[in-house]
Amino acid sequence: MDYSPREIIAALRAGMLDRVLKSNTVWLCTSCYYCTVRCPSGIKITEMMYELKRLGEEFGLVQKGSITPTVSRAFVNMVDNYGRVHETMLVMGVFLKTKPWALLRMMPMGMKLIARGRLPFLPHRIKGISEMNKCAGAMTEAIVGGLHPGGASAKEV
Amino acid sequence: MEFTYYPGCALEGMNKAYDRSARLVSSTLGVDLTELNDWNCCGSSAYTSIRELRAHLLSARNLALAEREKKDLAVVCPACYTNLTKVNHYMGEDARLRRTVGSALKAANLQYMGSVKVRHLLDIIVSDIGENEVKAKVTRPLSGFKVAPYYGCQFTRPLGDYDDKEFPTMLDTLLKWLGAEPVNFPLKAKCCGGILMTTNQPVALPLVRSLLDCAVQNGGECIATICPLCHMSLEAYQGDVNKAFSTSFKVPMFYFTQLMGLAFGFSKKELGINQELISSKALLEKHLEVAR
Repeated sequence: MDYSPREIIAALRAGMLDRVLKSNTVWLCTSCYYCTVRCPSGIKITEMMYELKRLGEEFGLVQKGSITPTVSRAFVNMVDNYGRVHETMLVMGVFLKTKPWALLRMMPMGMKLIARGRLPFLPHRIKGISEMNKCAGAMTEAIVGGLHPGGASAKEV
Repeated sequence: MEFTYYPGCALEGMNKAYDRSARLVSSTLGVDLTELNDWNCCGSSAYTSIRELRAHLLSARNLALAEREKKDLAVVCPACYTNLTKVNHYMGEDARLRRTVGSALKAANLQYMGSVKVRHLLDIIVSDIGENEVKAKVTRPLSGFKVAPYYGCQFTRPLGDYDDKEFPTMLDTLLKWLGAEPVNFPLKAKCCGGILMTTNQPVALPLVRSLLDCAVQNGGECIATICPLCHMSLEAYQGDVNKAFSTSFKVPMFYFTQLMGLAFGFSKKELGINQELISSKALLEKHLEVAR
């Protein structure tokens, strides 16, 4: 890990946002919330890490070579299209684009899961998907219209 | 006792057995679960990593749909529990968010007034149902079962106030009621690697290795899980751990509801134990006289 959470905060206070965003620390955070419950000052460090991920996405500043942001982006697309996530399709889609050879290594486990009836073949699309997207559109309008001052990133609109 | 039930995406796919066993044991205990109609993704950490408000909107839609049913919402996946609970809190505390999300929900004729309580199923079973009721349903005590109780991260962190945030004990308690022996498991609430198991194995595999090591060193013959993601990391990648570190782990994994189901007398098939990747056959035959 390039920087510890303590160093991340120090670097941010020193104005080194770009260095922080490009470090591997940001996308190594799995949201285990240990730091959040331990911080004696009550800083919500996990939420800060989420915000750094979103800022990196917004400015195109992410750790080179990491596919964690790619998976997260694919996750968002799938939820926006289906309302739910289909794990297999998500992982296959990302690896087909990024490292197709890795899929070969996953094959034996995939076959095992299929044999045990644990891989559903088709994703489920919720009935309310168009309403859900209508809500999202309305939220974008609300943000543009100034209903949510100062709190939304460009990715939201 | 009636609840609206939110399974979450992970329980629709590879963790179907968790869903099945959770429904079975709940109905045995008189906990009536009705699945939330047309629920959507909770806005999990992968989604939150890209968009914040839209992630909140996802949870808010579920809460709004649940509010119509006028019952509390029972959740099994700790990550879903965390997201739904977090948004529930935020909607109560933050007038600006309430306005923004509220105006968005209105586009689908939905509204959320904030009356739904989000509950984890394990908390419901231990705190509401309690020792006597659970013990009364045990027809096949899990005597001799040495179980490492694995809570993972988000069962209590950051928002589950029903148990200790770093050293929870609720699952230990339940296992004792079932007749099993929960072993000391110092890493019980440590991270399994989560999404990194898919995207960054050099980081995630050592985490799973130390979890397995800790469970076995302390005498655990199997591991009980609460989180479907932890379950997959430890089950589906145990072989990769063995390859990477020349170890020979063969630790059977159970969702905690499967162990409950076994103690309540359900068959392996009814509980989806036949879908496991690491055989628990020897373990069950050792401890249960009628291991069907």
